[in-house]
Amino acid sequence: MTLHCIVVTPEETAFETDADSVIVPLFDGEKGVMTDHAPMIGRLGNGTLTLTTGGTTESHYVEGGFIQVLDNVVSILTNRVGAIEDLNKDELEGNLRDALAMPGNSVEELDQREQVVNAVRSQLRVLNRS
Amino acid sequence: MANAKALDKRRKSVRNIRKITRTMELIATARFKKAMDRAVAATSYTQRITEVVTNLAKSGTEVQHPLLEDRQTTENATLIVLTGNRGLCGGYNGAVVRETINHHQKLAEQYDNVNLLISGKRGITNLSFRGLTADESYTHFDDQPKFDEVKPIADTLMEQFIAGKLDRLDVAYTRFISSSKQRAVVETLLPLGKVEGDDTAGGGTTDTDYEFMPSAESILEEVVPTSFRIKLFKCFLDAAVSEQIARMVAMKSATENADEMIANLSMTYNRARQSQITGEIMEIIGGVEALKT
Repeated sequence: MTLHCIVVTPEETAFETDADSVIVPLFDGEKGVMTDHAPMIGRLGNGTLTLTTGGTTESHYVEGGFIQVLDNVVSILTNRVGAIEDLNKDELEGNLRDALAMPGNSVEELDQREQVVNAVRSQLRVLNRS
Repeated sequence: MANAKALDKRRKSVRNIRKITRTMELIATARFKKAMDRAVAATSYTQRITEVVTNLAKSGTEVQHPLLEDRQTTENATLIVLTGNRGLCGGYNGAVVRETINHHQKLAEQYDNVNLLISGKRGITNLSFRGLTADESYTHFDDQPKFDEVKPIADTLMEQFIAGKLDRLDVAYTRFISSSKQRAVVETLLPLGKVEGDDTAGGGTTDTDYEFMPSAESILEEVVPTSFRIKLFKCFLDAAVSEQIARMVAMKSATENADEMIANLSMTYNRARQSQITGEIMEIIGGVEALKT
């Protein structure tokens, strides 16, 4: 008995795969899901999505969204998903500098800057941990 | 009867135009298929979000969010116009521009300030010609709009709305109804009014007790903005698909017209050539007859 994991972004269904266990970054901490998990809906944060299948693990970066678990089907709705290998440290550090240099003259601009900075920082964190 | 040479020249140029329109038709067809695939791929996300909202509503959480509330104030309104960057697509851009002008007039009567956001070169030039200049304009959206490009626009508008700097947001675009029917429409996106799936009587999944993490309220806080972003993104996708269809249809009829024109010109050309030959023969016979006498 395995979990069926579906990862969906607003643009497309990124991938569908079977896994023994799924670890997702929730809004306030990590959460592991194994087979026969109770029905659950959760809010995701930025971080690493780890899929374990028969001893091999596969990691992806996800950015916000939701997770729904029902009848051994894990649906992950996220704004962005990407392989961790595709993250580039130099590029991200450049992005972080750009993000920090964004204007912050009003509340909206500040919020937007914070969002971008957070997203880039969590990508860097994911990269450094892997 | 016109000069045979001139007719032949014209026929050649029509043939060249036909080649161009035919190629454009083929390109539009390919692009349409791609855009359509993307639009279809995007529906999966929408469906699942709807499911989440349905489940939230079923769990007894009251779906409330600043984005859903109706505003009494009528100070600022924003109108987003989605047009193409290129022409040669029949009535596609014209229809959206027409809708925009009508709706802009109505908004201007009700609201003190009407902001205009225009995407697409055609819309920008067309509307400025009619005296409506864009407060902000985008030209980087092509036949494959990306969510990452739409998200910042959605986020800024959302923040303005929550901060009370925006009371209403409308989008004028071409809605894709079916591959043979698209219509230019104006849709109100903010206030959202109602999130799809917020209908406890509706279908969706069976009565499962979901566990909400961290809490139903926290999820709701995120679901509402997400469904707004998705709605706006869908408008962009619809507009992109409709543009390619419009171009495909326009170029198909242009090619057919060129075919008809070529046939007509060929006939006139042949007649002109024939009459020229007849004329020449008559001259020769006339000359021979003259020599005989």
